[in-house]
Amino acid sequence: MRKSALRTILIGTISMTLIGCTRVPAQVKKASADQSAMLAAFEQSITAQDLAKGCSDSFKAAVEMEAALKKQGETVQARINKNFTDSKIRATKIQAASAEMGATKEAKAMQILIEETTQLQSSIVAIRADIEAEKAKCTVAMGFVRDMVHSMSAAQAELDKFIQSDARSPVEAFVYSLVETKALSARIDRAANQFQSKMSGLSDKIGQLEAFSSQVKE
Amino acid sequence: MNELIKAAKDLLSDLKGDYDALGESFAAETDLDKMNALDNQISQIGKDIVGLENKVLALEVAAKKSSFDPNELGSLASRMSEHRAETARVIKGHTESVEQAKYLASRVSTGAKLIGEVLRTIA
Repeated sequence: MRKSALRTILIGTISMTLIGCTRVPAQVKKASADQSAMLAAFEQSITAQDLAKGCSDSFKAAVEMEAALKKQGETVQARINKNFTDSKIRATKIQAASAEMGATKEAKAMQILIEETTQLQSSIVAIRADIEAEKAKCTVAMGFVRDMVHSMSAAQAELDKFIQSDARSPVEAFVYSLVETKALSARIDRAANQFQSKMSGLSDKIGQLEAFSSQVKE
Repeated sequence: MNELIKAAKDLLSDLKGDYDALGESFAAETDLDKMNALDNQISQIGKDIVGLENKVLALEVAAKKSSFDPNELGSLASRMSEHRAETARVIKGHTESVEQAKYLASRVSTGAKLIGEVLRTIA
């Protein structure tokens, strides 16, 4: 009788513990739904982004922008020079008829030359900033991916800690296997290592791009 | 963008034609007032040409820009970071529940799978 009552209490306790363990609170259900939506958006966006293509496009664009700046920048400078030379020739002809007007024309030509050259230089500074931003796109993207890997690793570490502390409880031990999280942890580590080696590969690419850009400039 | 560049270049070609034609008129002119008027006109067209060449410069460089926008990844990265914070919060709030652990494990597993896919796209 006493044994039976004890058994009832024990079974009751285990059942209640299991119910407590398997019940997913509303807060977590909501978090789960949010999480699923986030991960779906993440997956979709990653596919749409196509990072490798993005990086390759960005490197190519930076080189082409540099080449366009050099070519058209020289055209603008040549035109400024031509306008100035022509103005000086006209001023010399006017000077023969009126020394005063000729001098004014010459001063005006010089003023325009200075204004336009200054304007061109400031345009080049702005364009160079755009080129630098284009070059940096891939590095920025890689930084974000690194942040994501870091976030996932940190979430994994939290989970691992939680599972290990939970494993002490006999009821919980059978529900969850530690092996699974260990395997997951190893996957995250491998992914992070692969990512690191990709990053150093990209550094080389950036170096090559910069060397190429310098050649284009020269 | 390319149509804009083409339109600007067509306009440039017209302006250069006007500039050269007026330059020839100036060379043939002997009257001071007329020379003055022509010089003013030519100078103005010359300035317009330089202004337009500058616009072509900006357009040609802008046309080469890539459409790749890494900042779209930034919002994802911040959401992953929120995910990490949320994981920590949920663990703290529900340390008694093993079901939580299974739930979180499946989330982290999905995340790890996606990270793997990201890394493959970079390869």
